Amino acid sequence: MSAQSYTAATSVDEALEAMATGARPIAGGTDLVVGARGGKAPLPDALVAIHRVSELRGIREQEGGLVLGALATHADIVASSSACELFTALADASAIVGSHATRTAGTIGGNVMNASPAMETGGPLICFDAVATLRSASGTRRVALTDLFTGPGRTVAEPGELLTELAIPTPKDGTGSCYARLEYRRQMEIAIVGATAVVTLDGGTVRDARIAITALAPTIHRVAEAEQALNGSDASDAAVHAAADAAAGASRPISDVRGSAQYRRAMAAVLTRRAISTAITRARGGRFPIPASPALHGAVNGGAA
Amino acid sequence: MARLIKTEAVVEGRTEVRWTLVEEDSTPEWPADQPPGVVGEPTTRLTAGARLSGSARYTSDMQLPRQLEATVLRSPHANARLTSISLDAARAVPGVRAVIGPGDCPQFDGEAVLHDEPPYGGAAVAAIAAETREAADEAMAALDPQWEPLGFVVDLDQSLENQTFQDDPVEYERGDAETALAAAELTITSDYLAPAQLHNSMEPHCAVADWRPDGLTLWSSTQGIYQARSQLCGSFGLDQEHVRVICHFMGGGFGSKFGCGPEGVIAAELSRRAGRPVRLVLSRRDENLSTGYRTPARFSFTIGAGCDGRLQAVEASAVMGLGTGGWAYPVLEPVKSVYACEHQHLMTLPMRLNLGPAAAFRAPGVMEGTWAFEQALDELAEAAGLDPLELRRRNHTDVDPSTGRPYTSKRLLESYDLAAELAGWDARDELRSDGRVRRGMGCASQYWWGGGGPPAYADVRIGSDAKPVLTVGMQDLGTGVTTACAVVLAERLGIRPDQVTVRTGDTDLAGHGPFSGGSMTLASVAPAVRSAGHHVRTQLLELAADMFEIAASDLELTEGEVRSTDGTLRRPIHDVTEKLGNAWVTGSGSRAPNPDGMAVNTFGCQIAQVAVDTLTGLITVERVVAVHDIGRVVNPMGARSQVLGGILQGIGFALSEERVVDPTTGTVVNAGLEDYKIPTLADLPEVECRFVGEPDPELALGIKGLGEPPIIPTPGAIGNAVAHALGLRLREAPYTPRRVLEALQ
Repeated sequence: MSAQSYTAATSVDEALEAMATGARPIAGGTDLVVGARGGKAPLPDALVAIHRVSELRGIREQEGGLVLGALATHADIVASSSACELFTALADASAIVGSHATRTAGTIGGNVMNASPAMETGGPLICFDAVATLRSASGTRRVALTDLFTGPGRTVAEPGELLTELAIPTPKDGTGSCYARLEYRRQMEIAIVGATAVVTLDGGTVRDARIAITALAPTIHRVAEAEQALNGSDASDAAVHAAADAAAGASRPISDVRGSAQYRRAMAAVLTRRAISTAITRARGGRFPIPASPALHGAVNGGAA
Repeated sequence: MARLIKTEAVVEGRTEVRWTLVEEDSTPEWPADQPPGVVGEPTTRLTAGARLSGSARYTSDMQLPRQLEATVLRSPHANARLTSISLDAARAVPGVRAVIGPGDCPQFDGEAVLHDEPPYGGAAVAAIAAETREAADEAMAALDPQWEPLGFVVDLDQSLENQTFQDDPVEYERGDAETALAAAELTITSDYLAPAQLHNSMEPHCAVADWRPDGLTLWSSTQGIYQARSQLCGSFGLDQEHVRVICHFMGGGFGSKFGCGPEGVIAAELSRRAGRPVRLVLSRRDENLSTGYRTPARFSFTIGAGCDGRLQAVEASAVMGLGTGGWAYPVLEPVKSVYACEHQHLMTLPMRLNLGPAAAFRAPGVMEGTWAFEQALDELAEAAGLDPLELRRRNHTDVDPSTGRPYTSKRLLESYDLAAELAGWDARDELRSDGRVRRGMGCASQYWWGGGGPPAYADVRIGSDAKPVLTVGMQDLGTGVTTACAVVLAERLGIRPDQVTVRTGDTDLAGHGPFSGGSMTLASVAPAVRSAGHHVRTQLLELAADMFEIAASDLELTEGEVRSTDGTLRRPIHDVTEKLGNAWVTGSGSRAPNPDGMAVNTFGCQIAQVAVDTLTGLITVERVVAVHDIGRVVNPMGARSQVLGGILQGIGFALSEERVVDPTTGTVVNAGLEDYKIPTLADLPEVECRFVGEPDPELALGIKGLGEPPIIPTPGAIGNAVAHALGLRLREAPYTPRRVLEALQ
């Protein structure tokens, strides 16, 4: 599984220079190296390590939102109080990626650009209107996350483009959010089915609802019918059920050893319902533990519908 | 004086008669009324620091000078004939030092190691040793094997129909089951299907072989260094004195690593040909295709009882899928031996399938048999209108029901009582509800052997620094037996366990010893260690007597000091040992046999509480109460750790672990850890762990084993708890969300 060449960049420009000649970027290595060892895909011929590029690190607040450097780890996100308060669904997702070791080594940039339809953070980033900055030797462009994914493992990024940061605008007051996944175990798991809900309440009325489904289609995407079912409603159980059923109706799951298409479709409704209910609870100022998933399905706090 | 004696030992349900060399032993037993010092105190593993920091060197970490890396070509077909292979093309790849194909490798335990007709997907066909892993991979691609696929059977029922047995069917009869069943007031019949559970030891099977003109050294991840040595001698026609097997640190085995394994023979043959050390480490996928699994089994029970719930007769059959190896593990032992029941007719049918060979897996047979039979008993309890624990109490037996032998000790009834109290058993019906989340509680009994026995030998030496070195003929497969041995020695010498250096896992260091299996290691070696320690203690006290002019009988070793019983003398042990200069005081000990004519068993009871999410089908094990009778507990910290591990592995069997075979290709579809779901530490429920056993009065040091017992009742207790929660019973494990939802519909 050896690569032919390996360089370690100290700046974004150096990394872009290497990428312009065909090198693939590597940071935590939790997808690329593990995949190569497991025989999924060989390592690329040329690698450029970006883990020492300090300008790609960290999470910073800027006017109107939060900026996640491409090297921000899942553990960084969970440790960020702004992320937990304002982008709770993203914290829900980041807190359950892989294991403790994966979350400490794995980066948000790698997670996004790996473009797995089962990745945990994709749904929350899409629903929060995150925008990716893609830089290459020839320029910079910004792509909304909702336009980034084109298929399993595929994005609109060109070979020489590096994701440098993700900008997420602060949601409006009265917003609550949740990412929930169906998991067969508490760690080292990949979503069998995932659902994201970002709900903004105005008084008792849903002013804006964002709902995305994960591991239920070739790409993670929002479901307009589900959002419509909730928008303008009083966030009643009936509205939540209708939205969840719409999300399930939009799913196009596959059958594999982890679950049949039939089971996944049935679970799409259940998971979406739990995500929406929890988002509403949080939008109303109620507290629900982060990550939401174990508490949602676990026995102890299984209050959601 | 040494004597050769003939002894009987029960190993995982099989009785073995052995001749064994035993030394006379005058070591006094611990007085019953006096706690034996550090024995029974929680002791941190001696190797914890090395394991945590990564300085512990496992076989897979070995890096010898000029070491080559090996890979193995495995068949991708469920059954096939190799029609051609380009060994020479592989040899021509730069960096390749040895290539072997079918016919080039000695046999392992009388079986082919490299197959020209590989009988299962994952069977080894050829092997390569090269300077680097990459060169080996390139050579692998150059082999260009051509296959003629053959017909295969991977279905248990199909194999039964074809009557293709991998081992002889086992029939057991006592009384007249047929007549007794016909006369029984209550009769229930039920079926259960147990999955194939894969071992997945943290360290895969691996070997590093260094073949030299003066002999072979094999570093092996093995549960039996002496067995490995015998196998290598057999395969290569070598003398015992010219084969050394080493296993210093080991990342688990769970029964799949007895002996050197085919990987040991392959590594040795490649090393012999290349004249260089060779390392062979199996990939996780190869591990899960070729190194064993707990056998899948279909159980059928017909149980007859009185209206009072007392068992009268059982007819039972178990059809096991052994694949291409393994033996008829005692799957019906829980029927035969746990409860009083006069009439039985039991049939075990070990079938051959085109799958890898089965291997012993932590309580082989007994765990899955307990899972099935303990649930059938709950069905009987329901039919009889009895509390499940009450049913078990009513069927309690004071003697081994198959032999009539008395037990050396048995505290099963106390286990039921304490487990019920800790679990809140009497209020268990209050857990139940019709809501989205349904809770329930279930119990199961535990029965195992684990009395230990000879052969086991230990040597102790102590030099001027007063820090003893203990050498034991064994290997620590990760159970913590090394630390327990240090505890036993420390008690005799009046020092702390962490002052003891324990050397194990090397056939050149100590003559002989037990393999790590059957929950027998500690019960086997601890008496030998204590005896060796006692000899050293006696000599140290005699030396001290000379120095301080106090009779040895008035001296004792306590807290690192030599003390006189009247309290007038307190001097560090070091004051005595420093006079030794570079000399040592040494002592040896061996293990005497257990009493004849008695049954040695562990017992226990676990109670599980579960919550079932009826919308997703997900089951959460919320709490497990584990009460076990294992005789004397040497290190409660290590013992609790074993119980937690057993419970977690049992949860895997019950809820998520299942080898899935594609019926159309006959190959395993989830051999990797991404899709084969082992529970993680985060899935561990709250565990209340207690030991009710007093030191066994008939056994040396009163110790019984604990490796296997904790996993035995867990899946059965979970199955019963799920049935209690849902009011219906799942007959096939693991209880995946899909199966739960199907059962609910």
